[in-house]
Amino acid sequence: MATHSNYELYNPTAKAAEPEEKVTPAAEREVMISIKGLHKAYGKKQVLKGLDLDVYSGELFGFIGRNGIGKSTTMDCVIGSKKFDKGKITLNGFDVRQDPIEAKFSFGYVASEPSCYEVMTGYDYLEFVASIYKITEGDFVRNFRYLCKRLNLDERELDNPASNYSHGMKQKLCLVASLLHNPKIWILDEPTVGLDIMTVEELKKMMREYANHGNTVFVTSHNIDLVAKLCDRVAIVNDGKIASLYDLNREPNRRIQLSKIFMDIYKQKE
Amino acid sequence: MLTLIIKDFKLMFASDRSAAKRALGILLRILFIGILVSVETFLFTAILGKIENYRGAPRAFMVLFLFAVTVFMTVSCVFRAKKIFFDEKDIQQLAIHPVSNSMQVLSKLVFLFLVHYATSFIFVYPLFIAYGTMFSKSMMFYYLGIFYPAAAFIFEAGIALIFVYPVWYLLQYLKKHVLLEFIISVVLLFGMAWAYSAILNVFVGLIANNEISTLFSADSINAIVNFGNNAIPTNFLADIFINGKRATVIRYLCLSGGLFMLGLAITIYTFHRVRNVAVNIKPARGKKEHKPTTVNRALIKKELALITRNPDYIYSFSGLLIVQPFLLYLIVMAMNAIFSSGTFLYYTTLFPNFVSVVDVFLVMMVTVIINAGANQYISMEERTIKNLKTIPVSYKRQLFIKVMIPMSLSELSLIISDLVLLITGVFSPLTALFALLLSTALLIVFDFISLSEELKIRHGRPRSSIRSSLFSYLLPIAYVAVSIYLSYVGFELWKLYLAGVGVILVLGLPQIIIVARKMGDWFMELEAIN
Repeated sequence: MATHSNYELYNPTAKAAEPEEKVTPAAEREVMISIKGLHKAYGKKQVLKGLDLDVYSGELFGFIGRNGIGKSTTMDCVIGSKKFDKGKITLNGFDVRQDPIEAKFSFGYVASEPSCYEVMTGYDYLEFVASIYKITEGDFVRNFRYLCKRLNLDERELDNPASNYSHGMKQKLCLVASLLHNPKIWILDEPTVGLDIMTVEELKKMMREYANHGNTVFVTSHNIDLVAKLCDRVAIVNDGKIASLYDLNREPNRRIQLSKIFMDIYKQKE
Repeated sequence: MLTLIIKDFKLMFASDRSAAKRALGILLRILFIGILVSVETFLFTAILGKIENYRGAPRAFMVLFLFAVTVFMTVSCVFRAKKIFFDEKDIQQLAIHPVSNSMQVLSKLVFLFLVHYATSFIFVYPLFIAYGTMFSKSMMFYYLGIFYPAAAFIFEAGIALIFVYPVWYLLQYLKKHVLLEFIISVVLLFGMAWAYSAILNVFVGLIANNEISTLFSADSINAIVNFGNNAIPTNFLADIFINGKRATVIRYLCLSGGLFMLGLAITIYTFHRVRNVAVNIKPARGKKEHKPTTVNRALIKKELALITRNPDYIYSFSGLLIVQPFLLYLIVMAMNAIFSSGTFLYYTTLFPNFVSVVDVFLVMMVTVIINAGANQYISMEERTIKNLKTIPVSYKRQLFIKVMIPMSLSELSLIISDLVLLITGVFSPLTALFALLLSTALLIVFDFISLSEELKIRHGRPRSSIRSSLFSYLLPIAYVAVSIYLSYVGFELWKLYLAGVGVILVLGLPQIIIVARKMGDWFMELEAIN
């Protein structure tokens, strides 16, 4: 049985490995996100119709699809913010229905829109998150200092209420909060929205490094180029299921063709 | 121009509620204004009837009432002007549209005038009708009265425009200095409670003594006459509109026109400054150690931050909690004075213990009404509902803390209020005990029902508070009804109180059980807004 532990935040001094350097056979890796036969309907509208997916440790996984196709619904079911009708989801070996608390300790989540408490200062918010995830004082100080530095978030600004922050600053705060407890799974929903180009580049590097340190990064984005360049594997959702699943390390040509593949899938449907 | 004015109307009055709820809201507002104007006219006519023979007194009382309207209109104009000149979203929207600055300012002034005139007319013209009827004034008096609100607008808006920017800046400043805002709000609430007590005393005197003239001695009337001669600008306006002194027009126009121009100049300058230069108010800084705490403490701190750092809840909850003991003491004392004198004395002999039952009823009502200001457990999360669902803390623990924080604060304020009423001898020990028990029971039922309403919020719509409102009023009313009947058939006081506990348990307990059973499902079905 998998457990959550106080493992070290990934080594900041380690050199980020290139995607091509790390091609480990799936069989040798641990399944960190497992979705089996996921069904979800809104009233009579069936959005997910038996979606199956396994995401492994040490991989940066892209989950893409056009608007309203069930991408966010899947994501919400995975993080436990939406009930699903049928199926099973496990995170780090924990069933999200049976062991929701253990499952939630396993991931850090970043929403597409910043979701920090705006009545709190940045510090208060990070302190709140650290307390909820039972992080020790030493880990808290070390982790948030390191992450603020990486994301170029001015520590002096953390004394101000989050309501005073720009959209980008709030998103940086949420990114820092999501990694404070050094989760095994990092889930990001459209993480680059509202971030400046330098921060986007840094975030891409961080995602890559995080996966290279044996963790799982699960990301959705409408930016196909970002997914194509960054991810190890990518799944395209259509009609409530996974329409295509590619290992971009094994099939490098798919990286170049991803936009075209994406368009073709939805053209067929029309 | 017309488009801009309509936009300002929407900005000020639009709401996202359904048409039926909007219609109900408008109806209630009309009803409230109707009652307010009726009370105003009744009081004014009653006073005029008593003092019509005193030399100069009718005019002085007319000035007094008009002056009160001027003060109210000036204060409301400051906040209305703040909303239309310094609304952040409106400024952003207008900045990207091809509308000249002068057109923007002009449209806002026209809007301000229209709303100001309409509101002022509702309160002022009934006074003109009452005064004119009493002293058989000519048609010209009534005709001129139509223009009174417009004339008063020049002065009232002038003062409001001078103060609108300082008020806006102060509120922005206070937003970032929560403790200071809290202290100011408590002082203001105490001031309002004191004013309320003064008004209540007048009414108690009126009802208990059934004699209005006892309130006015020769000295007090002389003081009011003096006030009437010096109450700027209403004394000028009274000269013009009541006494027909044309010469005063120039003096009034010079004074009010000067103030209006000064206010306009300040507002135009500050409006452009806020539009073009981001006004940066730095928050208070203090050295603080940041370290993680326990899960429970973190959740409690978060809830306290949501309640106390949000300006919306400071006046409606935190501030009122502090003044609750004072407010309750005033209300209960006033009600007891009414019931122990005059015609009410007859009814209280028919229903023994009636006064004690009503006293407890008042404690229950005030407690839940104040608590209602902070039991928006989910609504106050706004965009962070997803956080509730993704943090590794059980929903039971989260909801328990969410409900317990405002409930504990209300309970603490209730205990203090109860003690104050006991120590001051207003309540007997038995009444104090049951006031605490019954109010606590009502608070628990009310908070559970509020929680269920909060957990059922869907599609970003506002919460439907019908059930919690019904229970918060119906349960105390049911208690009073049962108790009065039992009192009539001769039950002792402690039995009446016990019956009250029974009523709340029978009607409230099933609600608590339903909420406790279903809250897990409702929590999961909560929409995570992003």
